[in-house]
Order: sequence, then C-alpha cells, then structure tokens
Amino acid sequence: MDQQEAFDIEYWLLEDAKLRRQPPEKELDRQIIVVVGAGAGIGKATAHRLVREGAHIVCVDLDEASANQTAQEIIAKYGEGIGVAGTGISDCGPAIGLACDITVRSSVQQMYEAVMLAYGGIDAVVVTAGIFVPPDKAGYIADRLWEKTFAINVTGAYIVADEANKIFTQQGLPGAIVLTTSANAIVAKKGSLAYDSSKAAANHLVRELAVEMAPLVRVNAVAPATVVRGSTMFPRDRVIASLTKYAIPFSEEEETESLREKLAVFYAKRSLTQLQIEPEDQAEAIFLLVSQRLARTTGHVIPVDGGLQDGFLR
Amino acid sequence: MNKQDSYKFVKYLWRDAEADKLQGVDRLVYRSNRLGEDLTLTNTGGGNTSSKLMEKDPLTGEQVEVLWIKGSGGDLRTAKRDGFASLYLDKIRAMKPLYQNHPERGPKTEIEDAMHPMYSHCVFNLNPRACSIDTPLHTLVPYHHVDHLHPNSVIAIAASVNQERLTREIYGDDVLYVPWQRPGFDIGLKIEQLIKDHPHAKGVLLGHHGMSSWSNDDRTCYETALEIIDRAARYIEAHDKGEKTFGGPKYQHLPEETRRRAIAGLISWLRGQVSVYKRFVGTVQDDEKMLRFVNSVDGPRLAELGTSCPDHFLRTKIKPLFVDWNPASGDLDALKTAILAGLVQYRKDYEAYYNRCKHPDSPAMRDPNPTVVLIPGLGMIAWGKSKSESRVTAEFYNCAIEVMRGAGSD
Repeated sequence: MDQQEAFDIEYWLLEDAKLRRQPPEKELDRQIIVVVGAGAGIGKATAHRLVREGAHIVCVDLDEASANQTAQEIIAKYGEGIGVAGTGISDCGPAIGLACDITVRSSVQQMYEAVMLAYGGIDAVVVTAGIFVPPDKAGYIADRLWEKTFAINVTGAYIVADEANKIFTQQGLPGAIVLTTSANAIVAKKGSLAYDSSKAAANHLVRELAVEMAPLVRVNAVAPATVVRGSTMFPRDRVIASLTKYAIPFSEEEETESLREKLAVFYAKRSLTQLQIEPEDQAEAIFLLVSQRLARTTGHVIPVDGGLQDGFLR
Repeated sequence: MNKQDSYKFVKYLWRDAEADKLQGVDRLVYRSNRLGEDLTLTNTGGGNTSSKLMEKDPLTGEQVEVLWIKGSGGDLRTAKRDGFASLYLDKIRAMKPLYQNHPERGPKTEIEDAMHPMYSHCVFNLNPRACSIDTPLHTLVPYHHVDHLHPNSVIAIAASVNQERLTREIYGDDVLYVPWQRPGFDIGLKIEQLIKDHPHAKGVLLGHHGMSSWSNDDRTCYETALEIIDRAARYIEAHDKGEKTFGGPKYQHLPEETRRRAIAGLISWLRGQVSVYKRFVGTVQDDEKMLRFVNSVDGPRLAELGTSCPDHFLRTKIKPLFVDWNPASGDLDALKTAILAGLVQYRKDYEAYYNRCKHPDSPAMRDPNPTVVLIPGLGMIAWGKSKSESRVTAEFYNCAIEVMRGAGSD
C-alpha cells in the first residue's frame, strides 16, 4: 500500500471523529504508580483512589496475597482492557500485585524490575507500609524491635525512594514520591518511643529526599493521626492496650471491630474536627500530592489529623 | 466428519445449545463474541458483524426491519448488547439513491464522506451507539447476516503481490475478490453488484483489508467465516518456509534472563525518549515468534513495508522503529546510541510523510514518536496511552508479523 493511501486512512476524518468521541483523559491517565503497602489500610484506599483518576497501580505489599487481592479488586471494577499481547507479566491489566520486603534492597530492585517489564516505567511512588511495635509490659522495647521499626519506617522508605530515583533519573520525566509519616512524628507519646522516633526521622527523610531528588522528583508525605479502621497496625491486643491506657470502658467479650470503633471515637474526640480519621482521608491527600494540583509543593509533610492541638508546630 | 472437526487453524466455538436459548440481537452478540474469542479470526477492536432483524417500532408499534451492527470502536470479543448500533433498514436503503445521484462519487469524494453522518437520521429506538464505518457493506450485502473480519491469514493473502490470483487459487468461485478501497458506499455498491453477478459466492476477500461472509442463517454465516479463514491458513501452512522464514536468522536469541534484565534496564529510559509530548505505557513482547522476526535477516526490510491492516495505523503508525543493533555485542550503551539515532530519523521521516501527504483539511500532525520499537535480540516494546492500548498496539504488530510471514510464503 502506498504512503498516500496509508496517510488517507491514518488521518481520515472519520477515524479522527472516532478519536474525538473518546472521553477526555483523566488526571492520572498514562501514569504508573507504585503503592507500597497496598494490601490494607491507607495503602489499599490509596490504590483505589488513584486508579479512579486513571492511574495504573502496582500494588506492593510484604504479604503477596493481600497485594494481589487489591489488584484483583481494581481489575474486577475496571476490567482487564482489550488488547491481547505481552509476554509474561507484561500481559497485565490496569493493576498488578507484587510482594516486596522493603528492608532488603535486592527485594526492592526485583520489584521495580517486574514493574519495568509490566508497564515500562514509573510516575509516582507512594509508601504507606509501616510498623508499630508496642513496648512490653515493663514498658521496654527490645533492640531488635527498635531496629525493625527503623528498618521498615525509615530505611525501607529510603530504599524504595532511592531505587525509584534511579528509574526517575533514567526516565527523565517529572515524578512524585509520597511517604506516610505520622502526627506522632512531632507529638511525643507514652508507649510509642520507637514508632514516634522513627516517624520523626521519616519526616526529615522527606526533606532530605526532596533536596536530593530535586528538581525532577517532588517528595512529600502525609502525617495521619491514628487511622484505626483497616490498619494492620491495630491488632486486638494493641487496641485493648490503648483502651486500657485511656480508661475507656470495654468488655473482653466484645468483637475486635467494636473495640476499634470505641478507640476511633476516642481519637476523634481529641481532634478539633471531632471526626474519625479514615484511610480514604489519607488517600485524598496522597492523590493531591501525586497529582499536578500540588505541583509546586515538595519537601513537606501534610497533616491529615483532624487538627490535633498537640500537633501544632510552635 | 462433523462441521466443527473440519477446521484446522480456527476454533469452532458455536454451540447450538447456547445459541438456541437466544433470540434477535442476543444471537448476534453471541455470534460476535464467539468470533472475537479466537484471535486467529480477527484482531482486538477489528471487524464487525450485523444482522437484519424484525423489531417493533416504538412509535407506531408496527414491525420494522432493523440493521443491528457492531458499534464504531467496539470489540467483538467483549461486545455486549449495548455495543451494537441499530438503524431503520428502509431509511438506510433510502440513502443509496442519494449517493448514486450525486454527480461526483467514488472513494474519497465529498459525497462519500458526507454519507456517514447521514446514519444519525436512521437511528432506531434512540440507540446512542454510533455505527461502524463499514455500515454500507453490511447494508448492501443482500443477506440477513454478515460477518466482516481481519484475520491474519486472509490479510496475508490479501496483502500479497498476487492477491487476486491467490484468491481464485484458494477459493475458486466461492469467494469474490475486491481490490483495496477504503470503506464506504462505493465499495459497498461494488460488492452488491458482484453478488448479483455471482449469486453462489459465500463471501469476499478485500484486498489489504480482510474478508466478509454472509448468509440468511446466522450459524452458516459464522461457519463460512471460519471456512474462508481456515482455507487461507491451510494455504499458508502448505507454503511455509520453515527455517527460511523472514530470510532465516541473522542473530541468535539472547537467553531469557539476559534479555529480561536488559529490557528492564533499558525500558524506562526508552519511555522517557518516546514520551516527549505525552507519556506512554509499555508492553513487552519477547516470545519465540517475535524473536524470530527481530533476529531475522529480512526483519529490517520487512518492517519498512508497514503493518497489516490499514485500520491499525492509528495505533502502530505506518511503520515501527527497527533498531540497528547487534545483540551479540551485548553493548547496551551502543544500543542506546542506536535507538537515539533511530528516533531522530523516525521523527524526521514521520514529519516528512505528514507534510508530503496532508490535505488542507487534515487533522494536525500527531505525536511523531514510534509506538512500536523492535530490537534485535530483545523483542518488541509497544507503547500506548494505557496498558490496554499498548497491548492493542503490540497485538496489531503481532498481526503484522503473521501477515508478513504468510505473504512471504512461496
């Protein structure tokens, strides 16, 4: 077929009309976003929030089954797409689930390698994975648990960002990283020594990474007040310990969800808005930081805490 | 032999037990999905099907003839009832004299392009689905059911130098032949006349494009489509060049681990290079068939010839970027240098092609970056605005390779 004939098809006004009938692109269309911690809580809510705006979501979690579960929920809702091609992982839909131990650099590298073969690049990375280690009954935190807390909450976030930076640099397209720190990063609290200290370090990690990765990549964080619902950081024992600490009446026979609700209500009452802080509230702030809406914000930690008076910087 | 056992290269998926539970347009949806399910029959988003059915007019309550036809931009495999347009058949038939009475008619004439918007006046029951560009073909073929498909095996015959002779050789008088002409009223009228002249023909081979089958029985229409495609595939198999396909191998395949690591290390850089205007999402294809092509002697020459079906051009562009690199060297820096040089030339070529071929009313030039990148030793990286779209792009180039394999058979 000669080129003029080919052109007359490629630029045929009727074909062009077909293109124009397509719905306008969404804010995060064409983007590939890695959500580390997507198996539950804030990460899962973030995955669902960002895909609504058109992003492809790489659901990453230490627990592969929960990562896959979130990916499957997305595919069930949005479909696999239509083209039939791609070898191995590249034959995927708008979301994939991957296992990753963010404290091990080689595991993070393998995760990104899979992302490259699946989608060809990254546009943003969100880290919501974290750990809270309560002190023992004597109020003591063993060294290995202190190390684990920092390994996940600080070093892990650093490794994820550092490996992403290599890809961002090679790709040369503007990108974004959003970490998840905590209101406790600036509020000292009895019984949260390791966690709070690690989150304080994570707050400064955000600023350091923003400097290191500028101008190509913006690095920010959300600082949630306690998000109880859906969080793997609130097993029954911790909820009971907190209810006991705050002298909130409860019965040992109550279901865990009921106990969580009591704790969430207590936390809500401590805030200015008196509203419970939900995973979706964090996801909304993460969306803003990932999108172009806050394109001129980097190196900042955005509190999403309902207004904790103890959290006001002074 | 049962009908379903007589095919070698296509899947017979029709089940009377399922189809007989359905009526009217639901049977058309069933037939379309079965056709779309087998990728040897048509590509994603390609082809269209129709049935002329009696329906109750919502205004008068009278029985009227309605053409149900796959909607524009839809996909046979995944189409549901709402993916089909519906048009009053008497109204679309009334469009024929409008076209025929125009003093200047034929492909690319003003009246040809003015016909398509007329279908909006023919919509039955306020159905918002826009009808396919191939609607004239479905209207003018004087049978109740028509299937129009883009099978690789048939396009291989339809894109070969001896397409008309091969059509006769393979099908005898069973299948008519029409040289390439873009869809519209003119080609629809030509096919209508050919059917009048050859009333026993069961289908038509469309040069550079695909095929159509027809019948007053929907299952027969389905089976005829399968038969036409299977006969083309059998011919190609009988003339397969084996080891000498695409001129034989020039490079050895790299081991899978080496290949994947190289792609993973390269692809984000390539994404940055092709995403100058808008970001793209990638799909990697490095299976045996793809590697045979990118590692072949004739791969670079064949890639210049273009892709398989004209309606693929919007996604694949008229040619891919074939990177000039020796994988045996393993030199990834040299690969990047070769890609950069290739991209510069590709964009220049695309701009020149646009400027040479454009018309005063042509849409503005689209992104001049390639959407298909072929790398010896590594395979193909295809790009699209979403994962789904990049998979479609990759699928279309797989089709192109299959067509080139078939068209190159002796």
